[in-house]
Amino acid sequence: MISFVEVRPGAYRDSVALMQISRDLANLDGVSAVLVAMATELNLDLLASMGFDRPPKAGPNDMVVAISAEDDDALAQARIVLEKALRGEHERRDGGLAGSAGGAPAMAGGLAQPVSRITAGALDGATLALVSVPGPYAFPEAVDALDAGLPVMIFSDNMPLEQEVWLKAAAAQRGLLVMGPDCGTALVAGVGLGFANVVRPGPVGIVAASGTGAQQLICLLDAADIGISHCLGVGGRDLSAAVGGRSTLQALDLLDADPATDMVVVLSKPPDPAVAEVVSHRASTLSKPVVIGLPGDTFPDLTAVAAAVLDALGKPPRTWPRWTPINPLPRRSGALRGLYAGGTLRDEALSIARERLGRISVDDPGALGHALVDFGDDRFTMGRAHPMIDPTLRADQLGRDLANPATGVVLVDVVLGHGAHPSPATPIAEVVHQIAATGEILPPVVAALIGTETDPQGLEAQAQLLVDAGVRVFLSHAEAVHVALDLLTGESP
Amino acid sequence: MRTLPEEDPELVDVWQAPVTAVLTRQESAGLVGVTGAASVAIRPLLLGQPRQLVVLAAFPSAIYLTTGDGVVVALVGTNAVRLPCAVVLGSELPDLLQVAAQHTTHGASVGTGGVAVGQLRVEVARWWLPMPPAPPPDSTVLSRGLGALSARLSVQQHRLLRVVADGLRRLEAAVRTRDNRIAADATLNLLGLGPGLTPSGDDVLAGLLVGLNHLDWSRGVDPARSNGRLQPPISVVRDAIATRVLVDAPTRTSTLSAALLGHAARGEAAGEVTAVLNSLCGRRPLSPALMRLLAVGHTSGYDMACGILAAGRALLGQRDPGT
Amino acid sequence: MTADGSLPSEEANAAGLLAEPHRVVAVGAGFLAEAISSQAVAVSTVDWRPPVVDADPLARVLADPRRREANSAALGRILASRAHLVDLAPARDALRLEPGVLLHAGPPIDWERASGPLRGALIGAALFEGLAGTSAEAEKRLAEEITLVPCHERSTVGPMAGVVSPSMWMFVLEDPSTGQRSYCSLNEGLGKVLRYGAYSPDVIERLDWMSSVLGPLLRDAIRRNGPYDVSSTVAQMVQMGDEGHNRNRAGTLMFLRDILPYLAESTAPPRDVAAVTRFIGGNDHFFLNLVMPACKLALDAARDLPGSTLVVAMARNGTDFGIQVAGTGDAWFTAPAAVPEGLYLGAYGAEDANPDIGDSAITETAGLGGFAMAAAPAIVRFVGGAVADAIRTTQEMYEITLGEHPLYQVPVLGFRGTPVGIDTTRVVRTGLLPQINTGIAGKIAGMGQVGAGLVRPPIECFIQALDALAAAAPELAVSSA
Repeated sequence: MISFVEVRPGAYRDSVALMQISRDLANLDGVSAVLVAMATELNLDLLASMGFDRPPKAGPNDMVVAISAEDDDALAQARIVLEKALRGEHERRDGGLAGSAGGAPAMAGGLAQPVSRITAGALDGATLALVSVPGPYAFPEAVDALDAGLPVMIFSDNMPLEQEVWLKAAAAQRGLLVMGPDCGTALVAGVGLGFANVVRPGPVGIVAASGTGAQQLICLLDAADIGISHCLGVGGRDLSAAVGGRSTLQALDLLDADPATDMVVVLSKPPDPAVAEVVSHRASTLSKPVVIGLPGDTFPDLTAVAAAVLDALGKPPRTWPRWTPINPLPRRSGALRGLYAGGTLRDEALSIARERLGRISVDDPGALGHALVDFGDDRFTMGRAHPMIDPTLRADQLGRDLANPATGVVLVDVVLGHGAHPSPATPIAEVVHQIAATGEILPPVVAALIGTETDPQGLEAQAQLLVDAGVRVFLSHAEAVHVALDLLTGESP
Repeated sequence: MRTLPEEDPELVDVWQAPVTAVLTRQESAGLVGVTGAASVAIRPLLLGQPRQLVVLAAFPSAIYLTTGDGVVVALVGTNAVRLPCAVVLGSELPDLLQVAAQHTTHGASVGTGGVAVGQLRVEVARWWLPMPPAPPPDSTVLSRGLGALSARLSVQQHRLLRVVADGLRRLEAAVRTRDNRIAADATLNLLGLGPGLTPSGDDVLAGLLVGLNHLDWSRGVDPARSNGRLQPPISVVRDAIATRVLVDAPTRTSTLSAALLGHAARGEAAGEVTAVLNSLCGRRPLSPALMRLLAVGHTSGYDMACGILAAGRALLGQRDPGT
Repeated sequence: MTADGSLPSEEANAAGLLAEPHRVVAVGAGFLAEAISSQAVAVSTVDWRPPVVDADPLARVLADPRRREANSAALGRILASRAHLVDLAPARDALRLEPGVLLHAGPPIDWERASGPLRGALIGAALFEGLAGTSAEAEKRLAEEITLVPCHERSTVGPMAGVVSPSMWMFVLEDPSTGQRSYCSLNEGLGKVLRYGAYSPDVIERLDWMSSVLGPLLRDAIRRNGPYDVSSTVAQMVQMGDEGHNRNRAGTLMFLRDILPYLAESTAPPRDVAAVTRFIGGNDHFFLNLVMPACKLALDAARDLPGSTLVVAMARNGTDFGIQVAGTGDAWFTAPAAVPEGLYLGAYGAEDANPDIGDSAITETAGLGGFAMAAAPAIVRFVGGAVADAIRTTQEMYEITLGEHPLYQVPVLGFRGTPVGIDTTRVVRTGLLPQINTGIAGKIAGMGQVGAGLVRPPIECFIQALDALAAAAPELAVSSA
């Protein structure tokens, strides 16, 4: 077995692209382990844990390549494939530059030739910008977007607070909207940005400080045949005292003036009290009905917000879809283990479960006892793809928790839609099948399936994969949590 | 760098074609999988059980398919007319004609979330609404919009065929006076009138129907008093026209035109029409929207605009100044 | 119109922020761009790479509330500038250059650190002025008594060593609308010349002739017939295969064509007229010394605009590369100059080359030279490379500039204006450095020109400039907004 580690200073690819390259290399014959990643602390730790030597000089702006192979031939082969993959990416980025003098731009990979920067002149009629570079670098790109006269969605997280405040003040001055930072989901006239479900057009306009929270609400409404006009993400900090709800207030005005919107929902964690007052005052001046959905405050959970929207639209209450396995995994006592891709859903689980279970550890997968982990949290995503795309970390933890006799029930979220993994149910079902095949007796697994019937992954197909593995599946996350707790405490669900 | 001579549409097309459609190529099966944005008007059809389709007509940037019982599905490129029964592909596929030609050997179908023609399979990745979201806020806005529309149509070189113009004038008067019998009769006379895939008479009818559906500023106002005098609501005469269209179009005009009239009767229209309706509701400038509508077909855009104008005037209780 | 002069699309304005987006611009993760394009929405992606500077000073500079207007003003002044040749005169008169002072190219430097070619040119100038009888004596006086001042500090630019002494004749350029002036010496031709550090007797002899014949004849012609429109000739030469730095053939010929009748009409001896026209016609770079001060005039107009990130000078003294920025006054940001890559004359090679030297990078700073490479396909072989490289070079420079020059239009790019107005923030964000076309001087004093090629500034200059801009910008605070 030979090991190869190389640092490439200043080479940059986004984490999803590198993940795909790593996966392609790992599938080669004679290759046992591969990591191609940006050299963040987390990835260097990962490198060490994979048995590679930690390179001495490597920083987050450098790419690290580590390959473990059976022999020289396999290594050489892997390096050829690596170069091709990296170059392929590069050719796509630079495609046709020289040839484009007077001709059409080169097109590949479903996207038009990259523009060099966000300026109105280079945009060919673009009306919206999406920024998803690493957080510390997002500000200049967002400034470019505003300078070009575009509203901007900032998917990136970890943007310094003062930069968020500056951007939102500048945007308001120029009549533009900043969605984010840390805005995972938005829908503008049906077009999904970030992680977004496929919805029908309809009367409900959403202002959301939380991405997965919005997705849960959207999917519940879709199941009730209620469509969405727009979902404007504002970022998790918008209703803090420092930001003062700048984007939320703008979004409220936009939706009030929007002829496609009949009613407005504001979705947020409990905000700063003073800001809450300003927002609810503005909401009260709107010409349209407004539901202020603060799960844990005005409503117990997101499902209750959905019910309130139905009520406000004059629709009868309804039961939410669920999929029950023929042979569900039997209940047993032990610890609640919640493994999440969406932070808001983890929070919702925490607020529901804490009342019934008491002490629960948060975001520490190694903790004993009841634990809820958001794998989308910074500490798991620095230099790595989000768990909605890269299920590896969570799947590994799922395997450990399933095999642990102390586990009483496992809760997971499975989020569908644009931007998400092509089949997020698969890795979960696979792990369940794998552990079951070892003869272990498994704890029950409960999944919240966040999706619509026309999501690209297919709601029914994803549910079926989970149900076939004995997983209980619910469209409502709150229901899923209650069922999990019932299983744990012996109450009948 | 991106400024190109405007008089050369082909050049512009080449430049703008973003090729966003070809996402996955299932090379082994010879299938090309793409995604598109679909009108919610055909959502039940797209999500339902698979149904066979046959090609009605094919153009470089559009294919029209039918189930055989009057239902039409269109696959269109981003630069083609966005019919209310359309699935818009991410880009101009250069070989849509070829795709259509393959259907004789590979078949075509709709259902379970998409449309398949030949070796092309289109999955729906987004839904859009083929109608404007709300009527104009009041008669002043509509009146101002109609004035602009009328002025711009009067400077067009094109004119309605005389028989179509006469028929539309009669229909407009019947709508204004809420005369259901004459309205139904005038509708019947216009159906299928004129040459083409969508005859001129059908286009003015379609324009009139979507206009009556969406320009009714008095919706919600006490219907009997909307014009300051007692009158039955517009919906009564609109329904009379819609019923005539739904019953008689399938036997009096082409399948495509009948299908589009069916959509119009339900208030569903092409994106180009929706944009003009939005303009008349005061939500965006008229000029660019009307330019795009007038570019639809040889005369279809103009004909539909005339229908919309007639509907608007009738809703305001105004007479056609030409009579 | 937005403040930076761009027009947002009509749709966005008309239908508001919530209109169905038909095109989205995405920067960052590729899968998010693909997720949008799969919805039948066109996507433009941005070729993003991490900036070469810390995120904090960059954010502070971009957030400077003065930046947009200052940059817009700076660019506007550059584009509005027009240069007329209004006079010729010795530097002592034109610049009031006092005895004992010599001007030189690039950022400030002393004799101690001066490179071979700069020393050679300074020695030559001292000999020419009669300050010394021998090169040894000249070296001594230069080390002890003579004051060295950058050309840029006296509204002047000088190619290569750029040495100007009081007796040298200068072109005097003026912007007719502002009355602002700039200056440049007369071009000596190729080969063993002072600007490349040569100071042999024939070099001094040529300088004497330029002062006694060339300068006065041209002055008389200009004075008799009125100002000569340099800007207009520059605009034409760009469409005739010149980039205004390493190729000035068309510009020189146009100048000769225009000036010839006036020379012929003069009372000067026909022998002198013949010598002058032969000299100009035989020196393809004669017009460079008019392009450079025209550029200097434009860029000086953009100076001293607090908050502006636009580069107003790039210059080298053979040891250091220095830049100046509109928002930071007269401060120089310097780093060791690189040795150009290129082709060498005769038996010379890279080992003979001196690091980058000269004020001529003022042409690139103003949107000519390397920035206009696409307009000059004929020189790509001279500097190494293919026509496609020339086009790519110009296209790349659009990524670091604030605008396009409406006068300098590139035929093969569909008459698109050349990229102009280097933005410090763009350079450090993209890591793309300005492309400079340049001559290569021999590293030993007296050696002269050894080649020509391409060079880029050290990135450190731009990093320092950014830090200085950040220090001058208000702090970004939560409460400041």
